[in-house]
Formats: sequence, structure tokens, C-alpha cells
Amino acid sequence: MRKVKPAGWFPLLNGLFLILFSFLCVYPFVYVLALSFNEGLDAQRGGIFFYPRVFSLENYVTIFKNPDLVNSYWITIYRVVVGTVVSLGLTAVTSFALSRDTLPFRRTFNWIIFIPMYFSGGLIPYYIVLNNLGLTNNLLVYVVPLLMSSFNIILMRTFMKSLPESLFESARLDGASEFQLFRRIAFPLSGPVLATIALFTAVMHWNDWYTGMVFVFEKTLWPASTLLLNILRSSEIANYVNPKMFMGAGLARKHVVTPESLKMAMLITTTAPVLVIYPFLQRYFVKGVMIGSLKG
Amino acid sequence: MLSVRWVFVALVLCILSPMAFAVGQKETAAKASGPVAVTYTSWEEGWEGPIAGKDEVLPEVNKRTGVDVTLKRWIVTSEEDRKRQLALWTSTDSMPEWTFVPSDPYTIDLMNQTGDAGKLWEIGSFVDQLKLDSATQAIEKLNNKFYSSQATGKSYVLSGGYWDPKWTQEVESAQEATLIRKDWLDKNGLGYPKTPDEYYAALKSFRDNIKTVNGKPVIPLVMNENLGGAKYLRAWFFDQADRDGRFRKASDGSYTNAPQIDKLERYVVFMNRLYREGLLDPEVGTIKDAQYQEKMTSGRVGSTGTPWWNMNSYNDAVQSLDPKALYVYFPIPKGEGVSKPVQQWVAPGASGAFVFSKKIPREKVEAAIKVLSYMSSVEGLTLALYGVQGKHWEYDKDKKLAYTKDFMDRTKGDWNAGAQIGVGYYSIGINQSLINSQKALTATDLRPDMIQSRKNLLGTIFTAFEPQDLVPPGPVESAKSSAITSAWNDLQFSAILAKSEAECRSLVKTWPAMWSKLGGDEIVKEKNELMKKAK
Amino acid sequence: MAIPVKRNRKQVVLLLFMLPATVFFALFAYWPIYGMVMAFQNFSPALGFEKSPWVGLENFQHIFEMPNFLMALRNTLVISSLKILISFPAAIVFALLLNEVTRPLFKKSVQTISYLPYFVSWLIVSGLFYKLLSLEGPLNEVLVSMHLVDKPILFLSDEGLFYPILIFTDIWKNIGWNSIIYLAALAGVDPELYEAARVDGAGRLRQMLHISLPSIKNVIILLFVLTLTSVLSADFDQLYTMGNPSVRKVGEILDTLVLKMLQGGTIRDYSYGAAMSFFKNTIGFVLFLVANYLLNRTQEKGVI
Repeated sequence: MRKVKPAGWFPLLNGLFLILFSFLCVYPFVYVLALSFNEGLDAQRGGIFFYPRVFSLENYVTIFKNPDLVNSYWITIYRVVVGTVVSLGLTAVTSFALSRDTLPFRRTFNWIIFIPMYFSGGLIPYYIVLNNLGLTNNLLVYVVPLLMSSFNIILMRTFMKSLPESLFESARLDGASEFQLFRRIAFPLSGPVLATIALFTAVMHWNDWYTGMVFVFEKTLWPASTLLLNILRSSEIANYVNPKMFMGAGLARKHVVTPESLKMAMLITTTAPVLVIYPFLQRYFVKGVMIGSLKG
Repeated sequence: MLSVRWVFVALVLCILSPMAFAVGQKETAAKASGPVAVTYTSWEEGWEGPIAGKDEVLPEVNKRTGVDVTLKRWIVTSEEDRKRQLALWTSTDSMPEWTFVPSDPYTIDLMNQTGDAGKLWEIGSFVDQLKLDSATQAIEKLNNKFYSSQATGKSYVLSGGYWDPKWTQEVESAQEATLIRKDWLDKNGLGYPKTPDEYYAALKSFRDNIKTVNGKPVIPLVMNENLGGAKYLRAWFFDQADRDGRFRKASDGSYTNAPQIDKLERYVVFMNRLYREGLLDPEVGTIKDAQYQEKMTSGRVGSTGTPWWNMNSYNDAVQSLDPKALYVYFPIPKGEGVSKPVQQWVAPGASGAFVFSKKIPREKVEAAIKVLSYMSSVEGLTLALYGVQGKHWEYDKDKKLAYTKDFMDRTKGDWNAGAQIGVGYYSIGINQSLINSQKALTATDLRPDMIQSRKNLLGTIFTAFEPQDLVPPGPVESAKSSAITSAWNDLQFSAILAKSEAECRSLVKTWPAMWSKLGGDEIVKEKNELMKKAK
Repeated sequence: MAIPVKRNRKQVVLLLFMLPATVFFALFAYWPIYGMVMAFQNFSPALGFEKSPWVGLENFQHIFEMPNFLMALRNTLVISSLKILISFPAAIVFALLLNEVTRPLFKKSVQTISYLPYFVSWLIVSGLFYKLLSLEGPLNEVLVSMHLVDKPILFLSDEGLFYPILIFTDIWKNIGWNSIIYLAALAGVDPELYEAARVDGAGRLRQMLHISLPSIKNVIILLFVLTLTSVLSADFDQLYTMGNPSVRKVGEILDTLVLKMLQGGTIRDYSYGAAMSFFKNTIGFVLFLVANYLLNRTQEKGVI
């Protein structure tokens, strides 16, 4: 069948609008990038919008010279990989079961999963539970308590429910078990939602600084996000803490790192890797990729 | 590719791998013989601490006291983080052996409750074991009383690093007040403003005579986010006995109702006038910290209220544009009806405190007290503040303590670099004034802005150690004071930014009713009752 | 409650599938849930839940009696409603538009770029925004030099401009990320449906309205209900950083008010915070029950 080229105003207008929108989205990053490469005290004078005025790598140096940083990145990679994979697997299995009408106590299970989205006991009992389970100050705390999220389960369940029942029925007629229905039909066809949840989970693990700060005492067991926040906040407090001994008047380094400029460098450091990975996941968001591959 | 089989393999591998990583917290086994071992957990909020294995001070302390102290650094990223960690420790009954905690009301309250629940050692008896000179001992006992539990009267907190009145008055005086451009005052032939009206005239002269800096208009008075720095100007309108203007003391020393409307009114009307005439930055209501820094470093600002370390950095920044520029603190002007304005009120209390978990045996507590006693002596304090003689410091030709060249090279004048090898980190502040009087002047002390500011502000810190001041907040005040503070701030803000003087005055008159509504009367009642009990 | 369960192999397998989730939620969601009693106590970590004194509804009373509580509540509801009416559909529209782009490179780049703002924290966004709109900032400079105004305008203290600014920045920051779910849903639509419609003569717009949109109906409903039930939580980070004292009357939401009024640095803060959470969560849950019930009646398919 010959492809007729779509003509008309719609794609043009669409494209124009998206280009303008893209500029608005990219600009803050340009701004942050410029500031991150600018010397701190000079940046305080303002007026920097597109490019650095006094170029300085000192902001990044402050971050990367931290001796615990490399170690913390290993911990982050560990939690992103392990956390995402295990979480994805368990969520898929759970959502599949929830999407099947033949699941006994289906409505009860739905409520069990759903209620914690609204009600929770707060930090203190949660900490007590984790403490009792031996998860505090332990690398497992980054993965185990974060394995399942009500939202992800319900989202995936909604997707799986929309898969055509005919596929399941014909497979059932061929004598497939529930597990095979999951393995051969539901899971492979859930590409888009799996990619979505993988993305959400991975980004969550990458950015999460809270778990390390609250549940892990040892600095050497912190992931990069917690460590970076610590560096930033320390520099902010250092502005207000009065070291009454000796001050560096006249002993100032040539390039000074202020909390503001450090914040900018930190943003670039934390975001850049995510932006690099995402394009690999993008192919799952193409129209009709899944059904097409199966039918074809 | 999306084969479930491979996902399951990956799943199994992933579940097994953390086992290899999982690290638990192991308590060090108690030594059978030898020196008593005790772990000291020290709170760090924004400052550096000794790097493991590089500590040059603690081993020396251990050697001299015969106790085996191990340091565990408790790194805190914010006040919220700190409070939360303490709550989690107390709720799971896992307070560390010997902890150095801050002394804010929340922490002290929590420690007292934890102590009353039987989880901390009572400190009272151990104070006598601290070998301090009589004056320091007296302060320590005073603080113990101040920090004792309101429910049971017992004290669980040993204070460290407290305010020394003499030291505070004489040396620490350049703390935080209002800065003004001295060079601009000189240009206009004006002296330091002695009253708010003279200050108004000075600001006006800045705008009318100096006019612009680098082509941009002068901003006579600037404030930070949320009227940051306004409190320093507010101090001009309240007397020494007025505290911060929310409570008022009657002649017999008791607290009374009705905050000082007359003085408050004078203050906000004055500020409102500055705002309406454009002498106060028009953006005062929307400014954020980044823009405040921008304005301060541009050299266009005539005056602002801020702590002294900012004064140093603003001077450095502005002098790079104009070498003659100089911000200094000026003597505090006297508002109408004010005989003795104060820069700051300093009451009993400490900057930090030590607590001991009931889980450790008595001998460990006594060992810790032995260490603290040593650290409070002249010798110990010198070690803590300055390090080891010969290695980190020496006596200079005036017999004053000065850092060695080797130490300065290693640390480049950065306190944090020093702390990384332990120098300065362990100072607990008892008897600090004695040591500090022996030290040589540092580069900071010799700065012109510091010298002038200290001269101008000498004696303006009011230290209160009268018995009726030994009344920390009670439960009613704890529950209600934040709402009152918030409403108080909102009121000042609306009044200062009012469109007319009449509106400003009418807003102030709404305060007594708001005060009562928010429970101010109950707080006053509670304070008076607590004061009677304290006497 | 013995429901006769057929010893059906299929069902046992499904129950096994549910096992990990059940164990997980029992441990990490339901075991700690007793902590909700904190809302009714004068809780102290030193005393724990068993020994902390009970104060009944006192915490709630304190919250509702805060001056400006009603103002904050009103602001919260208004802001959330605006976001539901404007930001929520915007993400859907964006996903639909992006779905229509045919050149893969263009589509991929726009998509990636669109969620860049999601990663920039509100702190930085607000800093940038304040710089741009300040009295001496670029916008005022342009306006004055082009003689459109006599003197610079104080945009940031204008109460009337505050809500438009909030919505605009909210959309800009979140639209890309929020659209990801919709794009994923759209990716699952059978392309043959589009083919058939085109053959029948339907243009792009009609295809969008009659095929794309209905296909993602379930996802839209799910997200709509969830957004609706969090109506009492207008984005704290955004309001805290983008707000300033001048626009307090319209910018103060429940969460920022709690921060000012109840975070006095005392132990009682925990109880007040717990009471506020309890209040918000209960209202949200009730809203959900209502929405779910209505959906079950009208659509025959609620969330649960």
C-alpha cells in the first residue's frame, strides 16, 4: 500500500509549538550549566544568563575531590540496578495476578495494596520496624523496603487489564498454565508500561537521598545523592557557623565556591547520567511497537 | 529479548548479591583489662571532623588521661535531620554511649524526657567530679539547674561550651548588628547615627548625595528574605529590660501581659516611613537570598543588618570594586525612651551538652568525666583548641599562642582542614576565655572592619544570669510560642509595608487582641509560676 | 468468612504470585500503621507510643484554630483545582500531540527535552524566575527601554499574577514527566485501528479524538482520581520557594502554614504533623471512596 505523505497545517503548527516549548525547557539547564562553570563570588554579582563570565572548574572540583564520592556512586549503581530489576519483576508478577478475574479475594487484595497509598504510620514506627528487621545501617535498606509501590502496581494492573482477552483465551485453549500466560503473553506485551515503571523506579533510586540520610549512619554506606546533599548543606552551614579560631582573611583561594554555585554543579552532576540513559528506553514509547511485533 | 527466563536469572542473582554487601553494626567487645574504653559520638553540623586514622589530637588526649576514647562522627545535614535522628535514637532506645548534642530547647527537652524514662545517667553527682575552678564550677552548676527536667528536677545533661559573660562582653561583642558604609558617612560629613532620626538623615544623604554606583542607583537600606536583619534595627527601640519586645517585665521582675505596643509602634512607623520614602529597598517583600547577595556585593547598599562573618565577605567583595569602601557596625542608636539598647541578650546556657546512655556501666561515665575534666584545664583546652605544642603551635615572642608555619601550610588557614586532623574539633568551650586571652591575634582580628566594629559595639551584649532568668520554656509556651512568633513576624511585615502611616498604626493596635487569642496570657501565667518555683 | 475456594491449580498459582506483595505490605505498610495514633497523643519519642499521653482531638483543634487556617485551606483548594483543570489535561494534550509526530529523531529529542525541567529543583527554578522578574531584571529592562512602562513593575508582589505564574511554571516543569505514562499507553494502541480509520476518511484530529483518546481512557481515569484525592496537598516545594511574604494572602497553603505555625522546634511538632497528615489523608481517602463508587455506578469500572 502506497504511503500518502500527510500534508497540511497541522504537523507544521505542531512542530513549531514543540520547538518553542523545547527552548523553554532547555533554557534553565543552559542557565544552570553556565553558573556551574562560573566562579562563586563572581556569580553572586548576578547578570549571568547564558555563559560563564569567570570560568572556573572549582565547583566541580569540590564535588569530585570528596574521597567518599566514588564509593557512593558504586552504592547508587547497585541500588539502581538491583532495585529496579527486582522491583520490576515483583511488580509485574503482582500486577498480572491482580489483573486476572480468576484471582480469589481479588477485591481484598486490591484494597490491601491501595490503602497504604493514603494511610501510613509515619517515620518513627517505620524506623522501628526497619530496625527490628535489621535493615538500618545496612545496604539492603536501599532495596528491600522500596521494592513495591502501590502506585506502580495499580498502574501496571491497569495496563495489563487492557490487553485483549482473546489472546489469553486462545492460549488457554492450547493448554497454557497461568504462569505461561504471564511469561509468554502478558509480560512481553507490557513493554511500554514496564519501561515506564523501570524509568520511574530507576530515577527514584538515583535521586533518593532521604533513605541514606535517615536510615544509614555510616557515611561510607551512603549513596551519591545523600553524600552530595551533605556536601551542599555543609557548605551552606559553613557560612553561618563561626569557627572562632583562625579565619582565612588574606588566605583566600583564587576561586571560591559558594553554596549557590555548588548547587548548580551538583544539579548537573546528578542529572546528566539520567539524560544519557533515557534514550535507550525510548524505543518502548513508539506507537504500536508491541502489538506489531507480536502480530508480525 | 524480553524473555522472562533471563529476567528470572537476573532476579535470583540480584537477590543474592546484596548478601555480599550487607554490613551490620557490630558493637566493639569490651576489653577485659587495660584502660577503660568509651565511644564518644560527636554531633557535626556543617563543620569537618577528624578523618579516620589522621587524628593527631585524640591519641594525645588518650595518652594523657589514660582513657581509651574512640570517636564516632555523627554527621548532620540540617536541623531537621538532627532532630529526627535524636527522635529515632530515643524511640528505639539506642542512644549512643556518650553523645555530644546541641542544647536547643527541643534537644534538652527530649533528653530530659529520655532521662526521666530511665534511659540516661543522672548527671548531678558527676559535676562534683569535674575538676574545675570555682567560677567555672559555678557556671556549670547554674547550667545544670537551667537544663534540668521540669517534671522531676533531675538533670541529665552536662553542659559544654557555654557563654562566658566576661569573654562575651569584651571580645565577642562584634557579633551581629547593623552595618553602615563608613566611607559614605565621611563623604557626607556625618558621624555615626546616634538616634533613629539621625539614621534616617544618613540614609537620605546616601540617596541624595551619593546617588549612583557604577551607573546603578544607590539602595540605602536592604534586607534579606522575610525581613531578615530587621531584628537588628528593632533592637534600637527596646530597652535592655524589654528582651525582644514580646514579653514585658514589671518593676518587681515578674512577667506581665500586653507586649509593648508603644515601642513596637515607634519601630514599625519608623520602618514604614523608610519604606514609603524609598529608602528601604522596594523589593523587600519579594527578595530572595540570591538577590540579596547580588545587591550586597554590588557596592550600592548603604546599610543592612547581618552577622559579622558576612561583614567580612561583603567588605572583601566591595573593596575589590572600590578600595575605599568600608562597612562597619556602628554604636547602637537610642530610640525614644530607651536608656540602654542592647545588641543581643545572652542568658544561661551552653552551645552543646553531653549525655550518657544508662546502658554503659558507671566506670565508663567516670572515665568520660575524667577526660572532660582534663579538657577543661588550661593544658587540655590548649590541646583541644591549638593542638600539640611544637607540632601545631608555639609561643611567639610576646608569649602568645601562635600556629606553626608547618601547620598553616598544611591547613592554609582553614579551620576545617585543621579539624580534619583533630585540631580545634574537641574544644568543649569550658574556660575558653582564659585560653583565648593567651592567643595571638589572627588575621581576622587585625582587619580594619573588625577592629572598628568591636570598638563600636563594646559592652552592648547584655548577659542575664539573674535567678528569674533561669526559667526555660514550659509546656504551654512550647506548644504555643511558634504560632505567636509567626503572627508577630507577619504583623511587623504588614505594618512595615503598609501604604500609609495610619494603616501602619492601626495594624499595630490589633496585636494585643491577637496575642491573647493565641494564648499569650497563658504563657505569661506559666512563666510567672515557673519563676516562683525556681526561686 | 469461608468462601468455598475451588482447589483450582490456576488460582493457587495466582495466589502464589500475590505472595511477595502481601508479605511486603504486611511488613512495611501495615506493621508500622499503628503510628497513626500519634495524631491523638502528645507524643514523645522518649516515651514511645505506649506511654505518651492521650490528648484526644486537641491536636486537631490546635490546627483548625490556627489563624489563617481557613485562608490557607482556601488557597490550597483553589490552587489544586486550578492544577486539575489546567495542568492535568495539559499533560494529556502534550502526549497526544507528541504521539502525532512522525519524524522519530524530532519526537525523541522533544520528548527528552520536555522532561529536563522535572529534574531542576524548585529552589533553582524559583531563583531563576525571581532574577528574571525582579525590578532590575531583564524583563523590566526590556519593558522600560521600549517605553512600554514608565518605571519597573513589581511582578512578584502582585497577588493577581501569582496564580498564573504558579500554573505556568507547574505546567512547564511537570508536563514532560507527567506525559510519559500517557505516551506509554498510546504506544500500546494497535496501529491497524488508525489504518482503518484513515481508510474511512478520518483526518488526524478525528483519529486522535476517536482512537487515541479513548484507548487511554482507563489510565486517565486512574490518574485523575489519584490527583483529585490529593487536593489538599498543593505542591509544597513549589509554594515554599515561589512564594514570598507579599503574596502570602494567596500563596499560603496548608503545608507552608504548618511549617510556620507548628514547627516551633518542640517535641509537640510530631503530634501536630501527624494530625495534619491524618486530616489530609482521611479527606483524600473519603474523596477516593466517593469517586470510586461513582465510577463503579456509571462506568462499571472503578479503580477498585
